[in-house]
Amino acid sequence: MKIINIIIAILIVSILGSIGYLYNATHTIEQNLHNNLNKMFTDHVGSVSSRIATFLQKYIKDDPYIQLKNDPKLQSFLQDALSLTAVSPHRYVYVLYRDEQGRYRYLLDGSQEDRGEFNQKLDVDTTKWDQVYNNKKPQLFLHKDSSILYITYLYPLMIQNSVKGIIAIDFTSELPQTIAEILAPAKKIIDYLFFLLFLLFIALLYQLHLYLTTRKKAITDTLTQTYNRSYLKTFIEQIDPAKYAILMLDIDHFKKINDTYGHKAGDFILQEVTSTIRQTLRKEDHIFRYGGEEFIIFIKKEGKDDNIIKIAERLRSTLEKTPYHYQGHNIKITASIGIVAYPEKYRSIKEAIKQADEYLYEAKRLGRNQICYNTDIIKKPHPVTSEIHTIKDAIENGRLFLEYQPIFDIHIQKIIRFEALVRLKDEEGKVIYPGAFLEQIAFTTIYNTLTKEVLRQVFAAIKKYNVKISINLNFSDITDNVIFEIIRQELEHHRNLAEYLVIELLENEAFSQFNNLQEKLQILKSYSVKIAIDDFGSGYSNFEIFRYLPVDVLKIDGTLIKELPASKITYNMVKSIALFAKSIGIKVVAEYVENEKTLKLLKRLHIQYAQGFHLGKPKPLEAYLQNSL
Amino acid sequence: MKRLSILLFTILFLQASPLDTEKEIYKIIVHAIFPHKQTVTIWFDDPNEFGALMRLKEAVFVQSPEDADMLFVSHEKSFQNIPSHKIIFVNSYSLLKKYQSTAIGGFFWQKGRPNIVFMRKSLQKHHIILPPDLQKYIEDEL
Repeated sequence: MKIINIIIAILIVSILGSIGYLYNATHTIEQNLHNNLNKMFTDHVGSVSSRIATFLQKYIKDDPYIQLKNDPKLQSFLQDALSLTAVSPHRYVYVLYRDEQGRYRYLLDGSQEDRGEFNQKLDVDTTKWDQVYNNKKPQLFLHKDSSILYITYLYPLMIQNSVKGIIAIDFTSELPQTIAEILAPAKKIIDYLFFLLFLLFIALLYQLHLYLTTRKKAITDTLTQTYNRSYLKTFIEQIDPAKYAILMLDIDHFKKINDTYGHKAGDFILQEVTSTIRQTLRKEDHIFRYGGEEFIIFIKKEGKDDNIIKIAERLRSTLEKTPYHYQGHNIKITASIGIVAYPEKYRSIKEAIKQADEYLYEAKRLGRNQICYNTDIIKKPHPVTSEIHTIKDAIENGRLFLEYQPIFDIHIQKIIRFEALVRLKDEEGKVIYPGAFLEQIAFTTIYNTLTKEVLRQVFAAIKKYNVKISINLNFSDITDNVIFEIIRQELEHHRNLAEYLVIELLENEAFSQFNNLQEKLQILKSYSVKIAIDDFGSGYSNFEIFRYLPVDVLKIDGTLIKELPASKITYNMVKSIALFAKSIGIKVVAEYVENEKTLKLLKRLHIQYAQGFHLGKPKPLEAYLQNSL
Repeated sequence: MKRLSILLFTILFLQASPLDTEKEIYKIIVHAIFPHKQTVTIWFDDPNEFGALMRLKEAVFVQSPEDADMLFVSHEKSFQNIPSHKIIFVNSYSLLKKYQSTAIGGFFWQKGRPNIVFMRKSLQKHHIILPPDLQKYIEDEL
């Protein structure tokens, strides 16, 4: 932004400079033309005066006053001759002499009007006239004071090598007018050009204004006036990550503010919190609204790492201490912050942002209102199938959707339930499958948003079609307070539909918090939700879980079912699992049923429920409901 | 002398309206003739010819030439009706030339330049002694 502003400023200054230069240049040209024309006139009057002098010298041989006084005929003749030159732009053409008292008097006056008499005194600027007498050289001077006269040209009348009089030619003020008239067409063209240039400049400024306004709107979040996520993409491409630290900040329990005081209060808090963040940070730090109540802050680094931690701590503590007053309510908020002090150590800034989000998540898990960071971490790059921004974009822009795979009662060949499978679409509409994004967003706030959205869509489907639907979660999702709270709130919100929901749990890591899990599953079961164990018989799963957890359904791992027709050991393993489940009253579902042979074997093993491509591929719910239910 | 020189300098080098110039010159003339009077009673024969004179703060204008200290004349026929013993000032060279024994002087424009002429004999007749800066405008005869 700064570079663009500098470029624009330089551009405007250059244009203004060019216009100024052009204006000055044209003014100089105009002045030169004026001067040349002036010179042309003065050259002309110089030669006229010289001719007059030559002419007079032919007739006047001695003191002109005495000669002309004594010879009125000569006086009349010379005056008539002089009058021939008194034509525009020469207003007055006359000859004066200096008397003994230094006063100037007429010898001859060829002027057509205001003619002076012989020997009549004329009050003139004696200083200039005396100079001609003394220097014996012509002189030209401007009449700055007179509205009638423009310039006067004085030419010495030399008789016997001494000045005996001065030939004077007065130009009227019509002369500059004449010059101006000559120059007028050129001046007009120049004026038009400047006017056009001015219009172009105005248009350019207007365009610039439009561009800047539009650009500002395009990169600014309307509510908080911080930068938006569109600009974040550009920003991270432009910066040197080594010069910034990344803070991921989320307002704790923001939903409660919306629920308690209304969305307007929520908007107010977002605006006020942004203002507080701005006041706490410096001008060179960049604030982006990343999600609903989530902000990414790029802190410009000045030196030591602990400054970043101090800045984050100051931010957290300021937010905690600042009360926000909304319509008589005193609302207090806290914020959790995740920090990545060295974004340059990550494969990309996007990776660093993801890490900051994970730290933020950690801060939330640890009880909120705290900062989480690890300034020493050097993250090793790992394969990324979908960029975190793409996933976040898809979720927030309604490109998350569900497909449903039917689970059949294979004895009566009827669908008893659907398993909801999450999908995303990227900006080009290409479908992204969970394997490409779930791992990426695990332990981030994006995962929470995804869980919430899945539950929202599932309950909407249950409400619409009155069918049972299962969703997939990890053990760790249930023990995670944030996710568990999301699930519980959704169940609370759809209490009457909760009995249609089955939660399929996958044990994806060595798990030890059975007590915690048990407690939370009991809470979920209090809403009449059914609990299923997914992918049993592989990975971390073991029979221990049945001792603690209130399981209703057991889904045998797909790899076992796939091998069923080919492996006797697998066959016996499945048989044992099925018998065990039956013995403790748990329903069994076989996954990955891909052919008729497998289906027959399952029937032989008295396994009642199954799913797989042979029975039905994941499709929109409507595709099955039209035929089966 | 200094005052008039400054005035002429001002006229020559600075932009001033002819009316303002005339007013200042009349002021100098009136003050030179009546150096001890705060106000001078004035009569003129044509208000259109003496617009600048009417701006003078020091002047009080009277209807009858008999009541005036100084008469300003622009038309020849006015000479038939005015007392010749009064101080008379004209506004053209031709009129001054004709009545040079009656008028004490004249102020007029010649070729865009302000011109002042005082007649020596008339001045003496009225016992008027001009200040040094106006001496150069005194003519013996025209």
